[in-house]
Amino acid sequence: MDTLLATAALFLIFLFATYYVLVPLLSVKEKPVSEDEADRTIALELRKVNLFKQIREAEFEREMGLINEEDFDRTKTDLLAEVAEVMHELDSVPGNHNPPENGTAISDCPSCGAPIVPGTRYCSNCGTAVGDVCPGCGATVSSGDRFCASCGRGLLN
Amino acid sequence: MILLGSTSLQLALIFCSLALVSGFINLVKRDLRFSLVSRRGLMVSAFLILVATLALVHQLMASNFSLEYVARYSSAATPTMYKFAGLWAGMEGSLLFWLTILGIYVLLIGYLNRRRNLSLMLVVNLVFATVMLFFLIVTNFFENPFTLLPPGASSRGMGLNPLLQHPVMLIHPPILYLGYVGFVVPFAYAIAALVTRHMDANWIRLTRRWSLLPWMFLGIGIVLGGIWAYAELGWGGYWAWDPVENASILPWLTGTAYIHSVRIQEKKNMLRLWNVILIMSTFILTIFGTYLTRSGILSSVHAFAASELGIWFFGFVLLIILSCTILVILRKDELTSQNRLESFTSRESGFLFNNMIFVALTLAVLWGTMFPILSEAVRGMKITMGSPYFNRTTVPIGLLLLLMVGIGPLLAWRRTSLGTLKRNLTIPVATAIVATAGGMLLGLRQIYPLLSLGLVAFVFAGIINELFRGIRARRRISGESTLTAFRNMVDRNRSRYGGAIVHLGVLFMFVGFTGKAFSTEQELALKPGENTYLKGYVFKLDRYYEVERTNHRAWIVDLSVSRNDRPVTILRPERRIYIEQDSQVQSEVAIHSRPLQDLYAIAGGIGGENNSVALKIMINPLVQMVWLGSIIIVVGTLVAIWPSRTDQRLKERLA
Repeated sequence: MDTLLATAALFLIFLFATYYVLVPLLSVKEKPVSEDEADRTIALELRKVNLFKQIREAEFEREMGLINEEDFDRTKTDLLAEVAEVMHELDSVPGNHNPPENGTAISDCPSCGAPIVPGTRYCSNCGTAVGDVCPGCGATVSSGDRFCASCGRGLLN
Repeated sequence: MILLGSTSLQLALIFCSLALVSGFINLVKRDLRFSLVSRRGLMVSAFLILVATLALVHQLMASNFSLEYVARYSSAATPTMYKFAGLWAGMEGSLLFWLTILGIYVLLIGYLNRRRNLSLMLVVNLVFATVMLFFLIVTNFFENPFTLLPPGASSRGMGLNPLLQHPVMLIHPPILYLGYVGFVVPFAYAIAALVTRHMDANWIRLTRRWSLLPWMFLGIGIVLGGIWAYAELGWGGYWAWDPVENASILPWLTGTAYIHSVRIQEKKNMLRLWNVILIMSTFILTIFGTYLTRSGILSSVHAFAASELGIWFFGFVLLIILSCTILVILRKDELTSQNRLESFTSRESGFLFNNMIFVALTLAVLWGTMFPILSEAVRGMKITMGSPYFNRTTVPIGLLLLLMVGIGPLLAWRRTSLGTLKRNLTIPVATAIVATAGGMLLGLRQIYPLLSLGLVAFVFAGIINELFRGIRARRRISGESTLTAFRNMVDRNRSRYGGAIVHLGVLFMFVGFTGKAFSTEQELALKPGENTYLKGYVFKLDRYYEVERTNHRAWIVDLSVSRNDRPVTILRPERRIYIEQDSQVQSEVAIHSRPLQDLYAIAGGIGGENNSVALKIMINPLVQMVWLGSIIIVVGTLVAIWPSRTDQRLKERLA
């Protein structure tokens, strides 16, 4: 009797599992929705954040005395150039024509007139401070902002 | 229950095959319906494996000896907790347990990614299904734990191997398996990145925690194995370069190289090929480790699970190597990176050098482990490489690695000018010189312990200096209190400071390893009332007596230890006879641990004509440092894994 019950229960489990697994085949064939573009955008955004994180890390290493001023400047220039590349790639992802973060348009450096990459703090040509970056998420913030408009972090410090 | 278990295993095989086939169909035809079937098939299969495992555990706990497996690894007299441990005591059970852990990882990863990374997950699931299918075939057709005893045969159970009846054995195998099996996750993502041609640092980012976790588990598993060997096997040490120990340390070594080198890909998108090769090697070595334990190809203390499965595992390992090689060759162009090292004195090149040392260490251990097989194939003789070979090769490489642990964190990413590096090295080098001179003044003359002492001091000074300067810099920037500055500094860069804590743990372990060089021992026979001296301690044999316990009879020796006429402890080594296991005799070690040394005693023959007890007593310095170091490593890893506040905000922003 026990065996019979167990067999019946197992058969039911099997039927249910088979239905659950195979039921998608009964639906109409859909064209695969490409998640690639969304994933690609996220990956690039994260790369950008990662680069800003590296700039902050380099700043901290300079404060710690791990690197000297000259090394820091070269490292930062390299990192900013990579940020520019990533921004360019972000623009080239199809369907990703969002304006730059916080609505900041690409502007020129007030000191030398070179184009400024959105999200950067210094002009890559002459080094003039042109904006601030939220330490929380890497978005561009204005110098007087009390909170980051992107992630809500307090900016007084 | 038996029917439920065996049928679940069979159904798991069917659904897993279905998942694999539909996954491939989807890959070729790009039909989303098949990808759903594949995903669901895999999940159902994982779930059914869990059901089968629960059924086996139930049979073990209920002592149903009509099941061959239960009869072989349990008995009515086996204590309840060891009945549970029967799950991983034998071949069939441990293969099912391997599948269980895989099932848990599959369900977890599947759930966390149910709406994310869909194109990657498709291939990830295919890799999971392939590995799962192999183990399901083996468990269903060759090593089925649900095999019944032949009709007419009856058994009262042979009980669990006495060597495995140790509390550590309740956690060592599960944790080791969490490590072994866990590496399948980053491996699967690496394959998925190759197949889908997404070879930037995205897969590395997605698997960061899933690489650190198995690495940590494997490390804890290895140390627990060491604790078991130390407390149970009775030769006074925790590491003997046994083939199976080596099999577990090999993937850990490549895994350690991997968790370092991925940082370069994260930062600079470099070393794509190298990282893929490292994680592939790590995964292959975990399967190879399972193969070594399970095939019986090398005799070892783990030979209790040997069988003829070798050829199947060997075939599977070959299949993985072949597929990985083909895939890497096909993606050769995309794997070469555009970026290059800016400077020799940079964190990147430090990591690269560290990687080379890890690879050298892996090759040295692999060579020594495989030598018996190679020598048998070439010269027809099984020549085993003993500890002298391993110590001769691994100790200098290990010390070189320790040097890198000290230098690496002093280098900044991308470039550090030589002048700055020299300045940063001043304090650590001075500390190392002082420590080495101190060691020499105290009478230390052997070269390796002296070097080890100097290097430990060098690294320690480096880590403390780094933390101190970091806190000072943060305080200067933000005006925070020391504690807040420390907390925020760690939170800002968890990889770096988690790593610093791990390195601190490594130091403690090295101190422990060095201490082992100063062990002293004495072997002798004592009669009741007699005593002996060792390193200032007096060991007096008070008495010995017999005790009857549930599944064995024990002779207990009371060995009182004193120093300067003050009692220290009473050591009670035992000699046991397990009646169920054909009167197997086993010695139970007695250990009294003090912070700086362990008093260790083991009893051999007891009684006899002259009423004496054969004893081996040892004084092992600094063993506790090894265990303490591993705890610090776990803490450091958890610090690195824990999500930082910045990560959480970022997650919310991208959600």
